[in-house]
Amino acid sequence: MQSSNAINYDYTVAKYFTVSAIVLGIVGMSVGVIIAFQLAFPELNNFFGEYGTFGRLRPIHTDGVAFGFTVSGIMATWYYIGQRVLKVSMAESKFLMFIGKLQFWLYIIVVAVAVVSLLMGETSSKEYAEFEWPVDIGIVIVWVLWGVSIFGLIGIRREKVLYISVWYYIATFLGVAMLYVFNNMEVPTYFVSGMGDWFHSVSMYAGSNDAMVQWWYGHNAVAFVFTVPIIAMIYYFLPKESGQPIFSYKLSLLSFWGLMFVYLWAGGHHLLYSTVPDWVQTMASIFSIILILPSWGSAINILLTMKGEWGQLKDNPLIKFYVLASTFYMLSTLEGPIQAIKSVNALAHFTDWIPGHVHDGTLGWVGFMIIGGIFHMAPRMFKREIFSKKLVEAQFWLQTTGIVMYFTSMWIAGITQGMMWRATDQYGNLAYSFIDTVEVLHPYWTLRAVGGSFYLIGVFMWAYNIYKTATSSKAIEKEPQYASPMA
Amino acid sequence: MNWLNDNINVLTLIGAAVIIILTVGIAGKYIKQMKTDKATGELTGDNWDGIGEFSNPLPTGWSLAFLGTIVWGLWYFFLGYPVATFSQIGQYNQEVSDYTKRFESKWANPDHETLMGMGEGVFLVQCSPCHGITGDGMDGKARDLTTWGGENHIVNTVLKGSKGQGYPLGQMPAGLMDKASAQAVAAYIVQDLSKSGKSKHPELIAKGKKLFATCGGCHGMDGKGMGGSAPALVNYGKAQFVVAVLNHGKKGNIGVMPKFNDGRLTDIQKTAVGTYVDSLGEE
Repeated sequence: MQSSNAINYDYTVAKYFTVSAIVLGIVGMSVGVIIAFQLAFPELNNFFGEYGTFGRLRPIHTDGVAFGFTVSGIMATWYYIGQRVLKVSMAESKFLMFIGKLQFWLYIIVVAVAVVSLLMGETSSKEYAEFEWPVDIGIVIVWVLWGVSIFGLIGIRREKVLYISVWYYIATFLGVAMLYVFNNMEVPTYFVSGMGDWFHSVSMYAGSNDAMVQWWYGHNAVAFVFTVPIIAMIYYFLPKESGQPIFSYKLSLLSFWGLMFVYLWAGGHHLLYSTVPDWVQTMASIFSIILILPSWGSAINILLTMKGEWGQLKDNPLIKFYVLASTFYMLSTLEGPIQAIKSVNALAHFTDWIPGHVHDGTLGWVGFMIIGGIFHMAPRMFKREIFSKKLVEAQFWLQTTGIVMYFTSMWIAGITQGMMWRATDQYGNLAYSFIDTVEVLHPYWTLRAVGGSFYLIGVFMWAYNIYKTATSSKAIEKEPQYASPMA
Repeated sequence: MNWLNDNINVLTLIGAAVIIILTVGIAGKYIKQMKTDKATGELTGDNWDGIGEFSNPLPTGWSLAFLGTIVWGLWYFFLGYPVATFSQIGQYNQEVSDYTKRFESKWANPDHETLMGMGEGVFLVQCSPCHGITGDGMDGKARDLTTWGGENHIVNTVLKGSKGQGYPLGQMPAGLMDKASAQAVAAYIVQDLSKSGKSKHPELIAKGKKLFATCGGCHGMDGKGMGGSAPALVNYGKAQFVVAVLNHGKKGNIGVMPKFNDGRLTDIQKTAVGTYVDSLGEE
């Protein structure tokens, strides 16, 4: 409870990461919109020579939104939530403040080097793990610093019991550390054999083993970057903004441990009908199905927390962001397991349904929680009202429209594509060539790019609103206990 | 449309429907409770930054479903479909072989019309990406099949040579003859040797037959290709000749045409493609 001698939380590092989340969000999603239009209109590849091609830009989009926008959002919220639920201020430890700032500036340097190296076409050719070994080392150092910050803050806490969000931040730290290190085991070719540039490397694993490690990583990057820390956010922001106690402690506990145990086994579903052993594929499919329940457990817990609070849902746009985010989380975490069933995967794999699935999760769940979370933090960090409630409302509806356009077009496109690849004519021959599918899917690709543009415009609205909140909105004297003040 | 006869399509559509129905239904149910129900329960007593927790029990449906999937998973993995009993390669081979058998028995004795229809279907999917949907080769990207089968095509091949079919006797060099001789040979091949059409220059046939000695060194004096050592010119302008190209692959301007003898086309389909391609070209 807030009292007159409330702790004076220090949001310096949280503000830094808020800025980087906004900037990298704009960069990553702008590139996303560009490449979406490139897929619909290939002529758009022809600007800026090699630097403007889909192949160069695609990793900048994926890594930019995952490790730029999302990781910045994770850090910003951690440096905000961590202090508050542990009841300890960053200002109380010069050491932790130093670590936090060091982590931020090193992170920015690593991001800059990563973007430039990807633009130059230097990659280790592993999806979401494209960075060459010098960048990887930088990333590991940034991550270790975050670990020092988490456990340092926990070490000097006043709140004896760790809140749910803290469990999830710890899991994020441990999960990503393990995954990143093992998937990026690589051989620097120059130092081993004198071949290639000094920064060049190849994976330490080969063939099917490499694929299995890669998708153990790739799938669980989704788990520990796009799921676990986002649950940490919703478990704080929704009850805090609404003032409602969490529906069930037991449900949060079981969902947490269920998610931790089950998620790590499901990565093989990215390699169904490939060269990995049959039992690995079967196991991955089974664990994917079981995974529905721990995922839905968190979402249900959140929705039940809002029982009886229809008024808040109607009146507070931030609550709208959180409730719709948990709904998209439910959609996405049911969709993934169903796509992981081998018979469904036989059609869905390599189709547009897969990016459709990724984006209803990332846009609807990850994006909405980071956007909504930073909206909640802003009045407390800057001691000012949110600049414009109307703008928040407008952004919410525009982005929701964008997401719906994105995933419906990709669902239809993907399933159509898969069926066309399988279709046979009256003689039993395959009925369609590749270009036939391109012609049919073109309108959906255009629609997808337009939906993405809507979402991007929403991000600009968010950036503007936060900027105005930080600089020129009406000052507030006393921090509100629950609902965020907005003009 | 036969797309609902495919169990993968059906399962996918059911899956997609399940995703929407369950998400909308269950999320909708909880969102409705925001309107109709009230939050109740006993607080655990802990409080973080103003956030409390109820000690409500687990939702029954959720618990049963979680337990259910765990039991199902154990059953599936150890009893229902024990891992050692399934082989994906085995399943693939079985399905392909069954399908091919059905296909071959259904179309065992195709008439000309069937071959043309089937051939056009295969051509549009497998061949048209390079040869164009009319078979015109798309401005030199690949062989113009609308001139194939005629005499000009032979002249062209003699003057320019032919590469990349991988016959034991190697590649045919360019310029084995001058144009006039090539025309004579072409007349002989078309009208006399393969009898695939009437020559426009029947007066050259006799001369062509003599000049064919140059060709016979590899293709055999009888034009049968010396037992597979070189293309059999007795088939020129006929479906079998196209089948031979499908089996051997060919070097082209924009790349190498793959061999189609890896199981992706049955012999009936190849003959059908040959029949269709033959119909595109000159007599």
